[in-house]
Amino acid sequence: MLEIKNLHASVDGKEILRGINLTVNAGEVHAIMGPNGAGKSTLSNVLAGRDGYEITQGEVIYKDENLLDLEAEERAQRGVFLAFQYPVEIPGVSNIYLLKAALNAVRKHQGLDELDAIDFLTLVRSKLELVKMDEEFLHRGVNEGFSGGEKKRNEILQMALLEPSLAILDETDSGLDIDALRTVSEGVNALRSDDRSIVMITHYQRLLDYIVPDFVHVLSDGQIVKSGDKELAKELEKTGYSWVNEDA
Amino acid sequence: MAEEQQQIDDVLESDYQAGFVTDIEAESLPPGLSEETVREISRIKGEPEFLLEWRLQAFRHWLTLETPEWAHVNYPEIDYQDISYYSAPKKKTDGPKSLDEVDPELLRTYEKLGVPLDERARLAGVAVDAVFDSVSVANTFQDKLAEEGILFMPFSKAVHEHPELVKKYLGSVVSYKDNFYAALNSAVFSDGSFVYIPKGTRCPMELSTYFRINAANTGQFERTLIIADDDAYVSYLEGCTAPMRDENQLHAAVVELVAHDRAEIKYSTVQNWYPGDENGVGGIFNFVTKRAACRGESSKVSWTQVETGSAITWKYPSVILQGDNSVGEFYSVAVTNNMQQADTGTKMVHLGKNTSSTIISKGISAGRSQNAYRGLVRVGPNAENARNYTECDSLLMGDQCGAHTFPYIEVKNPTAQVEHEASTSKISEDQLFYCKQRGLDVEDAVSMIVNGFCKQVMRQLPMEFAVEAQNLLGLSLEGSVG
Amino acid sequence: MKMPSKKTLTDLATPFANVTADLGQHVAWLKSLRLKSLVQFNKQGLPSNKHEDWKYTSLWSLSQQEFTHKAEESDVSAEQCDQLALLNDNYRVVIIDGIFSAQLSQLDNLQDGLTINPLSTEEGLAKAQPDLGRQIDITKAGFNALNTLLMNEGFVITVDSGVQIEKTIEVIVINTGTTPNLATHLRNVIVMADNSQATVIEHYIGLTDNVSLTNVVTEAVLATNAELNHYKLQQESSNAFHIATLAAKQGSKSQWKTNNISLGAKLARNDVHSQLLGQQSHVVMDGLYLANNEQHIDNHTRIDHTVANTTSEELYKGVLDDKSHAVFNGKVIVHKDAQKTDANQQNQNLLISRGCEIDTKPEMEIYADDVKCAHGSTVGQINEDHLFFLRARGLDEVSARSLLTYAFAVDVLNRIPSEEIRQALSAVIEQRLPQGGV
Repeated sequence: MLEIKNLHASVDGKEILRGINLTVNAGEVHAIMGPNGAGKSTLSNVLAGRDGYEITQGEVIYKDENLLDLEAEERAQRGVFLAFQYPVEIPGVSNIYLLKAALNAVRKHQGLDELDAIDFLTLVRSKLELVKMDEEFLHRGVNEGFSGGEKKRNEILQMALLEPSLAILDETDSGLDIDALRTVSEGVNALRSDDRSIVMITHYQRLLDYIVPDFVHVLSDGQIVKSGDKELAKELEKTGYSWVNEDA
Repeated sequence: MAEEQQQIDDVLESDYQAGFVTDIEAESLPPGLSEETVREISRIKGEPEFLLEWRLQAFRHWLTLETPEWAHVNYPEIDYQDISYYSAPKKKTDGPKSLDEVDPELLRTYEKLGVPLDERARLAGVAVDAVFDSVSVANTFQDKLAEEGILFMPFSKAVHEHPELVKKYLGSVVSYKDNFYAALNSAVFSDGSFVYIPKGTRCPMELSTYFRINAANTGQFERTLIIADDDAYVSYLEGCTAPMRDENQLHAAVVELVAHDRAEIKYSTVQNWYPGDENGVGGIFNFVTKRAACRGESSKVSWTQVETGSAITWKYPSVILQGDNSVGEFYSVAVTNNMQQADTGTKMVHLGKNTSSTIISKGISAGRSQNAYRGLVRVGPNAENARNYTECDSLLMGDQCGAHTFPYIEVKNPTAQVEHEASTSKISEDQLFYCKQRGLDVEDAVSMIVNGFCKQVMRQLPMEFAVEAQNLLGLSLEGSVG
Repeated sequence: MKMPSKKTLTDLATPFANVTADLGQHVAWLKSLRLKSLVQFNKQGLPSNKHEDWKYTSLWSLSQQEFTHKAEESDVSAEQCDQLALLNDNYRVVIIDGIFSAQLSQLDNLQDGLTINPLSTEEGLAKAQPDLGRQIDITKAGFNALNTLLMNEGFVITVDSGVQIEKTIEVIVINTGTTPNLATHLRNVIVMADNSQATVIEHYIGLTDNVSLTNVVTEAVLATNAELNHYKLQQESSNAFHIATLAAKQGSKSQWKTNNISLGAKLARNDVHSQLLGQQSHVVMDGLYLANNEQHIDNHTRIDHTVANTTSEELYKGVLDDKSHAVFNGKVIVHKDAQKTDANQQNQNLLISRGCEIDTKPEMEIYADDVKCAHGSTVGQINEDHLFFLRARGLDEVSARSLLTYAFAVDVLNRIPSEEIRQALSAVIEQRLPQGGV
């Protein structure tokens, strides 16, 4: 599904990612953990194709294509989904309008017809239940005046609707209380499947209690310094990140 | 004095006999503007004496005026002697012979906007017979409207069939003395629309489709007069969402609305005249005077405009709130791209008691364009409890354009509450990336964000206009974010 | 209005025909400057209402006056001066009827790095020369040219590099009324070298109801990282004409905090202008106008953001009583390439009485895209809910209104860092409010 080879990336001339190697197969859930400033958000932004990052070395192969050659929207249309750490507000644009435009952009790429209004609404309603959102949310401006928890649930709703092949969850647990965390996690778990890969980026172990990963990687100073299974995360919880650097 | 006037008139008359075009069937007047031109226009149209007299007064007043220079726009001086002030409907041989000869860029725009095929030819000025299905449709409308006693006809027809109404209302809202262009229009207007909604009547349909036909060739100096009598309601749609091919450089229209007791007029405009190319060559100068009088108590006038076209837009649809409890509204989206210039806004003049007005203006500037909001809220000394709320937002796209706000607030009554807010922002990189990450391309993302920004205005548009107008916003901004 | 229709621009300037200034007759640079402004003034005279900047303010009544430019001897005692001063125990410059009073001024033991001189001295002129006339535009219609032509007095303050002036400098300009119809043309210059800091108050006082004209121009220059707190309190007589220009050019990281309080005069006009020329420069431009009877108070402000990363905050408030008329015109211009500008401008007006009028025009002109600019303007009355709340707590209506008006007005003092000055100004405002405040 995804193969990252020796990825180096800089922002304003400063190297943030310094040779990332990672292979994610279909159906797997990977957690990438690390302290602040390790390069976690840079990695997710680079994968999603945000401007402002200079790739100095390496490649990212996604479904036999070099992901880095594609525009952000082309990646999205091919099934790369980023759940944002800080979902942006877009005043005046209703949630349902964005959802429909996004879904149709993906469907168009897949050679499918646009959904008509009724089919679309039926589909959205089924997804709303998954994240325990009220239909009223659909008609509010995108993330406009949403609480932190609502914003994150809205991200998962979009993910559920767009059914990506590769979902990158960037600090999805940040700013969530325990109930919201549970709801969001249930949503994500329901979306786990054999043909979908999930990369979770998180600072804390607590998310992994709810979404249990197949693999855990520790990112430090722009490199993956340690990989293991979910036990690695527990170890980190106990000892903190300080040992990581010493070990490396 | 009267004798002297008579002598002058005689001289002018003889001048005309000596050298002017004698062929009544003449299709157009040669360029130039003089008192004879005005008389000739009136004669060709067979107008009653009162109207000729009014035109002449306007013309004489116009001669004393200078071109206004206060607006935040620049353009070369217009030579008013170089314009032809009357031309009958164009010959079929004008313009392209078929769609193949039309600028492909224009056709692509029509396609994107979803303009029906036969309509595309008409808009592009293709010399096909000016007969469309809509004419017969219009006739059906006509019958239905006649049943209700609603008058809806070309202005020139109203002059003959309802001179008493024309005489009573023409110039009663926009005096020919109002401004340079209003004076010019009053002197030389060619045609336009006339609407009268009788007492207690709710116009059963949006007066729109028909307008497209009847206004197609009224040219640069059109005149619209809409009267809603007591308890009447009408929603009127003006304009065209597809760019009009038009040779006329200068458009100086006048629109007058009169709302009597408890009457309501909703006037919506989507203006997409040719804006000129990206270097500012060509394009329409759109200098329009639009004003409504809320004469009756509890009357209401609502202006909604989406302005994306024209090289220069200079218009301030206004409401004079005379009646107690009357309401004025102005919802505006003005988009400028490339070298376009817009100086637009409104005037809300509160005279009656408990009058209220709302102004929502959204300006979007891109390219090297300049976009200015200019507004006046005036509360007279007797306008007890007047209320105004104004919100003026600008969106900038690119560092070569300008966005400006010039609000004038004049309050002479201590019970007034007036609130003006304005802000300026740009489309954020974060918003764009978010949309792109959801699979939207840049143009769609921009269009969506801009439509969101304009939502308060767009939702005032009647349904049938709204979708086209939404597409238009995106289209007007194509290429402005790279 | 009785504005005569055929009155020409130069007619408006009639009161100033054939007047010349004594100061600096032998000083070449000054003579040349005066000559330039004479040419300019002859060209345009004083502006009529057709001039957009003077749309709402008529100079007709000014033009009907006969002014004298020669002050008779007057007598103000030191005690009187102490009473009139806003602050005690600080540096003090006193100008009586347009003439510097060494006797009443307190300029002994100036801190090192600080100079304060009257313009009418050789030192004053010499210190002023490099900057005088450079912050203003004499081609701008109106009084700048006239002031340059006729200026005879003023103060010149310089603060050396890195010097922080501890004491406030209060400039007290008193019109005693001894000479009826006296016109004074003052020119003040404040030069702040890099990393310097000072606080200056300009305080204008009229002692009688006599007609007078104060035409003042204050120019300030703020070098890199300089900080100038500048306040102006105008309490001229009820028949005075007060015309003031206050203009500053600001270098990088400089901070100019100015507050402009207009209480007096029959006709007052302020033009306040900041040019933000260096990155990270910041201006706070606040003001208050309390007008009653038939007062006319006009505030025109302008902020030019000319380079990237500059910020401005502006709050002007007005309370209008009786048949007073106030004008506010705030202009914020974000020039091309002035990216990351952050500008906020607010104008709020409280209308108290039938017959008053407010004309407000908050303007923005923006030629850069990555900016945060907002402005707002409100016209209204005392909030009825607030009024009711106070009455429910036992205040009578008059006191409640007075309290709310006071609260509305003193809000503009919030950004004055000095507690002492804030309190002194609050006290003045309270006195001036209807019913004498709280």
